[in-house]
Amino acid sequence: MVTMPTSEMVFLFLILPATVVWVSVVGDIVTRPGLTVASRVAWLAAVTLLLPTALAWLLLRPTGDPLADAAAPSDPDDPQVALVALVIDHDDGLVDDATFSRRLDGLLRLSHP
Amino acid sequence: MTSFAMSAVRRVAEATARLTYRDIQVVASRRSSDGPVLLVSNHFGGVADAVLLVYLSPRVPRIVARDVIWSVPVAGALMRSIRAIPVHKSDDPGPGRSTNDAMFSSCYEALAEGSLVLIFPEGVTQDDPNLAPVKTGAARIALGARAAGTTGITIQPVGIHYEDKAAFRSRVVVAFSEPIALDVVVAEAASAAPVDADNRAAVDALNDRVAAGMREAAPDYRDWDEAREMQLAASVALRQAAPDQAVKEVDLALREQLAVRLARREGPQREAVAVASRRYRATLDGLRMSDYQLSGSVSTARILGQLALDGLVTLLLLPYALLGLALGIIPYLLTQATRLIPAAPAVRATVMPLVALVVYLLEWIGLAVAVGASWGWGLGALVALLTPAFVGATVLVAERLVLLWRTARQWVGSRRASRPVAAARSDRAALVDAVRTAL
Repeated sequence: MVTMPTSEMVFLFLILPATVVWVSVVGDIVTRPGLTVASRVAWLAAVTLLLPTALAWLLLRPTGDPLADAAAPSDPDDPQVALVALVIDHDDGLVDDATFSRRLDGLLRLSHP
Repeated sequence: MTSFAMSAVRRVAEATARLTYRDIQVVASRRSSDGPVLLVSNHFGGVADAVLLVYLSPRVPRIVARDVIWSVPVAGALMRSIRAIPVHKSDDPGPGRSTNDAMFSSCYEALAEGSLVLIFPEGVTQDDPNLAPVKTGAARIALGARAAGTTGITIQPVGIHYEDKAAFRSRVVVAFSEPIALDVVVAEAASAAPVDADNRAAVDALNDRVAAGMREAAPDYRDWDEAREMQLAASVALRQAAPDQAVKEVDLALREQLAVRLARREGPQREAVAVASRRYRATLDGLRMSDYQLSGSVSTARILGQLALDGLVTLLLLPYALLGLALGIIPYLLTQATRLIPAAPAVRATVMPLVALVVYLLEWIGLAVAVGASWGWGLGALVALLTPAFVGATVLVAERLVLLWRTARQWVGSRRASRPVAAARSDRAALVDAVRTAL
């Protein structure tokens, strides 16, 4: 079984295709008729800076903590959040039966039309 | 793995997860992130499970996966590039190693380096809404690594709840339960023999704790009937608590937390909820109605106001949304077609995210290249930048229209006063009472 180091895979699947795209775009800008020198230079600068920057932004920007980002913000004033929190607290023994029944009835009565 | 490659792998996992699921929620009271961590997860979604956990983990985990994947052309290269650890199952084809010594050694080394190791201790993808028997592999890896000199190992149980694992753009909840500090477990073990991977009693005791942690985090219903009954009961109770939010989808994380707790209630209480839920479901099906239509009411003024607002937004976005629809319809249909594959749901859950990533990526690149080659690369770059925005506009308009449709149905439902609708309201109230009693 042939194994390929990560650095070679990055070159083969990322850097090489990106270079091919860049070369073809630069070739098009250089050979395209009807462009002024100024706009040719502007396009060249744009693709030379834009392409690597876009790639770097896509792949290298700090990933941060996606777990924390994805954690749904729970608003304790939201009655749905309050209902689930109440049940969990009661199951964990943090809320006594009388308080639980009173608060549960209060929450479930809210929606009687 | 270099930080560049690690970042790229997480980006690809993020793109795949965000494309495949419209909502990814996390429930985590406490979780471990530093040092050697053994992530133990249920395995309902095949490759989708690994994609979600790579995306959500603070570091790219060393994934323990079946060695047959290494012989698949692209998948094998990918597994090597992320330094996954092959494990051989005795019923898999190929020579394999009967003892898996190399797998254990690789896991010990990874934990000694302070890495995150991801393992699915059930050993199989599961299509029932509960855990398959938890095998002792994770416990033996943890105890073996500690006996080899690695301290500070944390075992982090994870449970993944899919709304519909084979459906494109559905919702998913990833729940983390209390981490298990291995050093504390070993210190508490009153054993004369060394507490290592060969100590059967220690392995079984740790495995029980791992299984309990996974059961706490993962879906835990007896069968699909019970899952549907408890999920409906939980949805009704949550809508009952917030009738003004009735037309919105019930939050999946809240629904699952409540439904699993209902399923764990004592026999008679659970059975009463199940009976009331079945009756209410049958009544709704007979009337061709949904629960949100019977929860609360909506005023005529509110529906007219929403119609005006949504109508304006739709009109403004319609040109872009139609363009997005034209651009996105073929990849969408191709991805949806994976539902037709005659295979187990776990297999379709594996295929679907991969198909979605490939077809959307191919269309995006192909379109930009085709436009660039035909009308100039500047325009091609513009198309590449704008295509996701157009598809986003389509999603936004579709969501608005669905919400408007549900509001209109609720408005109609709240004004129906026939005997069958009154009976449905009565069944709904009985279900709420059963939930209240069970809780």
